[in-house]
Amino acid sequence: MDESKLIKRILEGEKELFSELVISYQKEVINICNGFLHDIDSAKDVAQEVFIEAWKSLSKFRGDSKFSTWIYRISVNKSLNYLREIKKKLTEDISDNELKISDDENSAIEKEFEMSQKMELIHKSIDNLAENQRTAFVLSKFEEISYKEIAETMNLTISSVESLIHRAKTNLQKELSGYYKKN
Amino acid sequence: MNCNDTQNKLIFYIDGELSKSESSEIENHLDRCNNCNILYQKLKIDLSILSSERIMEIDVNFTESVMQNIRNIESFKISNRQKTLNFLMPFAVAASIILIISVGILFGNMGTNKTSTQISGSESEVFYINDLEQESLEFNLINE
Ligand SMILES: [Zn+2]
Repeated sequence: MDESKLIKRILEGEKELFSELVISYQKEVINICNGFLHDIDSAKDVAQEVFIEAWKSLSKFRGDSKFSTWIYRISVNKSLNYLREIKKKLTEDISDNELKISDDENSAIEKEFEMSQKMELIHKSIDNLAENQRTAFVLSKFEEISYKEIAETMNLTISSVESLIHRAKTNLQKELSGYYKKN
Repeated sequence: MNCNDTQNKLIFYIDGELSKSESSEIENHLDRCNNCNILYQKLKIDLSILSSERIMEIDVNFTESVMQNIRNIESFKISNRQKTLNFLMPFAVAASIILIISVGILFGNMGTNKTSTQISGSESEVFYINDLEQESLEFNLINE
């Protein structure tokens, strides 16, 4: 079925048809989230939220952009928000700990730290990129997403996307090479 | 091509973004330079992690879980609307009754004030009936 017709029918009340959109886009959405989070379980959780958000605001989808880029944008925003929240929580936990060290909290932080130690070098290097470079780079890693779609998702021109990806790769390479040379 | 130039282009070489001539220059350098070659191998392995962690299969459970969440949201919306209605209903009924009584009293008073002309009796009755018919407050709430 044509995607705009499908969306029209969902909005007209055939709610169960939404599952077709979930089937069509779940791989991309989960993979995009995982590109930011580097943890498949968290990525699936955030991807759930992405689809629920899409459901709630489907009536606001005007159809002047493609549904794909619309849902990619929700995926990027949800993932970045999730990371910001975790970061905030971690710094709060740490400053709490300076005042009053509780064993429970301490072991939770230790666990988080261990997790982050286990993270691959490439993930850490990606996390160190500026947000817009990171977004362009993560999206560029999927063959099914064109530069034009990345541009639409990020509300940028194709040439700005190309330059962001170029800078992202240059920075990644610098960071990784620096690390290899040290070790 | 020297070591610096090569190293700056390795990631683009791995991603297949260089021209044929640039690629062969890099290949030539990698053949000759062990240092750059080691760097190249490491970079290639690290970058390949990204494509290896991609999911390729559609997960039926994922779809079902999204749809279940949506069904819950929808039924919550409906039950909330019903709850609001149930909550407001007594107030609506009370407000209607108060309105009817006060209109009745008002017109009753008007009637007694103008006792000389005996019009009030029948007219206030007419207003009563109109008022009952206009019990639209409740009706509007239900139809909201
Ligand atoms: Zn070299």
